[in-house]
Amino acid sequence: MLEIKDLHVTVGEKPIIDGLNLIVSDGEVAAIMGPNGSGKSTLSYAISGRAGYEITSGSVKLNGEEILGLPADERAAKGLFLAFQYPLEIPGVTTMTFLKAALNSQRKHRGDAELSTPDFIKRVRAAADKLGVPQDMLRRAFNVGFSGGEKKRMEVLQMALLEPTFGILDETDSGLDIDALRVVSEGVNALRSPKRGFLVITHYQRLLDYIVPDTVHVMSKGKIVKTGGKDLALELEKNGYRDYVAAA
Amino acid sequence: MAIATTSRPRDEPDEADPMNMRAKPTPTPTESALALAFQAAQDKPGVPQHVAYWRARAFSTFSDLGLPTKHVEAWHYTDLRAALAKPYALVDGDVNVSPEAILQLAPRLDGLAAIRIVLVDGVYVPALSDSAAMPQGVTLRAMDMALASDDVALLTALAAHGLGAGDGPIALNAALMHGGIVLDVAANVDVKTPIEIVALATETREQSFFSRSLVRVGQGARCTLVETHVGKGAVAAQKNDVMIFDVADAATLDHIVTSPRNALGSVQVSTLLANLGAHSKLQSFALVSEAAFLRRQTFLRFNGSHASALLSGVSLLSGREHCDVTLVVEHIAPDCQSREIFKHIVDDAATGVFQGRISVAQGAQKTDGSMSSRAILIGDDAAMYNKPELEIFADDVVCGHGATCGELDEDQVFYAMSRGLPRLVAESLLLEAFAGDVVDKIENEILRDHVMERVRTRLAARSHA
Repeated sequence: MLEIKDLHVTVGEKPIIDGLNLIVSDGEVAAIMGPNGSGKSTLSYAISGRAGYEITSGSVKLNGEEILGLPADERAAKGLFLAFQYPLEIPGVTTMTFLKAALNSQRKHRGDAELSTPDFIKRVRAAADKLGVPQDMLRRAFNVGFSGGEKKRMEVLQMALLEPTFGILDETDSGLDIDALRVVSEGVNALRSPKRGFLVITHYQRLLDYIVPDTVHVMSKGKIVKTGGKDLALELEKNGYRDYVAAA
Repeated sequence: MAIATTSRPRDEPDEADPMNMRAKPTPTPTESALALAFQAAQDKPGVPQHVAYWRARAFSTFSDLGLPTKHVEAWHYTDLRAALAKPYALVDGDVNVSPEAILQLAPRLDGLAAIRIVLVDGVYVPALSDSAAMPQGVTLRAMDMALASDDVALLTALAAHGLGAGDGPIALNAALMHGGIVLDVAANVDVKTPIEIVALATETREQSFFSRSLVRVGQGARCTLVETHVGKGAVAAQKNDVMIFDVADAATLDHIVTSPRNALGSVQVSTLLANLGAHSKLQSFALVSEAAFLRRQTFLRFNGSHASALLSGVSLLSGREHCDVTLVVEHIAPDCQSREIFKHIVDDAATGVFQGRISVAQGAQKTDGSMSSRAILIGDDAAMYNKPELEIFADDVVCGHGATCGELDEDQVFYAMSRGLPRLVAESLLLEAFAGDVVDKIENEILRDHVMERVRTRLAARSHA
């Protein structure tokens, strides 16, 4: 469960998030929609602990525990996962090495034994097969030379492997064709569970045809200005954000 | 093999023009001590006359030049005169070292099965070496034995056919050289087993070392040479070592050198002088780590056509360490290829220097040269000076250079952290990848893994600091 209370975030002295309140319960899929510049990506970075996003006030609790002030890796170890809009490439590090370092760092932090290489490989292979990620991709440098679709698939693969309690998907649909969108969405849907919440950030309603949300929030000028059910997304698709931009 | 004898114009005061005359500075205490040490070495019985003469000429060259200061362009970023303010006595080299001590500091690499040549404080010790196991066609001699055999051609080879002339520390090394080996690989011999020179510094007290070794790879021969410099890093030392390669026509030499762990206050000048024949191939990789204050300078000359060279290296600097990588690559013959690829990771308040010059003579058409030096600064007070240069007198060449200096990509660091990697682990992973890109160029898999493991260990030490 994610609880955001009166969150204020500035980036380089400029206030971007301005008193945002949001609760996403266990098992809930909440969508945040909003026009460009409304602060959606800033929200995802502020929650996950990126440097340069200064929290001036407010609170973000994950499963009842305050996470603001923790470094990004500790937030991850507590069960937070951010699927990036633009996943990074890491030349010189194979995908396998990177995934193993991530999983074992989290396990170590939680006091679990690190996975042996064979156990780890078994897990990755199983997760990769489900998402149609070919084995040779796992041996290549992480995300280097991957297509947009492959990179997004790799994000979902990491989520499946790391088993977070809460996932944030930042514009996961951007740069995806219809087929890739379906594969990625199916991957996310397979991870939906009564114990795992999601925050799906998107411009367009299209993604929500595939990942059907329980709630839809409209964000404008750094706060939530409207909350509704999945039909709200359809309404936005028809009428645009104009009414809400004016309202904020 | 054809040897060119041209030398670069030297930056000497113009005697004809009194306005341009530079006053010779008063000798420093170290320079005075070196003069006395030189005299004592010359007076030792048993030095062959031609060698004594050769050394005297070298010392005269050194006296003219003095220890370089930052006013000498090639030494601008490394003020050796200031670094060598305090004179250390010359090594006396009479120390017993057990085979166990060697193995402890330089364990044998599993699966490499290298033939070892052990130098203790620069002096070849047959009892500690695999002397009996030298392969067919490989001749190993202690330098003093080789010099005593009255071989004048050897002196020409030891002068590297003029390479590095005009460099004070190289001349000083010639004047004071002590120990070292001459290793000859006969023509067309393919030495399958790597030869490893383990150079151990005993560090019994503060001393200075001047060692010079020569490796000649005969026509069409092949050899892998590993230079492992080791020390406990317990006592400061002043080291000046010169390695000379003569790679004959169609010969191949693979060279991997790892720097020693030098104690704080140590000063080391390591020189590689390499002459390449036609159709020959040289690959030389250098790892610098925990070296305190080190200048690694390489002078390489293509004397014959269609030869290729890959000079590469990784420097890992921390604390207040200083590492200066200087390269002078001379293309004299046409149709040769040179690649220089260096990476530097500079932490804390350390200083990295890269000076690389590719010079292409008028007749060296179709030269293909490229040089790259990339540095990542991770320390708040870290510094890096990158100075690549091209000097081209031929009109049909492809030459390029690139130098970058940057920080770790914070976006990559955040990405890795968002996956659960603590900052230092994330940084190490990225730095490892940065260095690994060059380490991957080492062809021998065991040596490649060994070097990578050293890089990894060094970077991991950051997390525990």
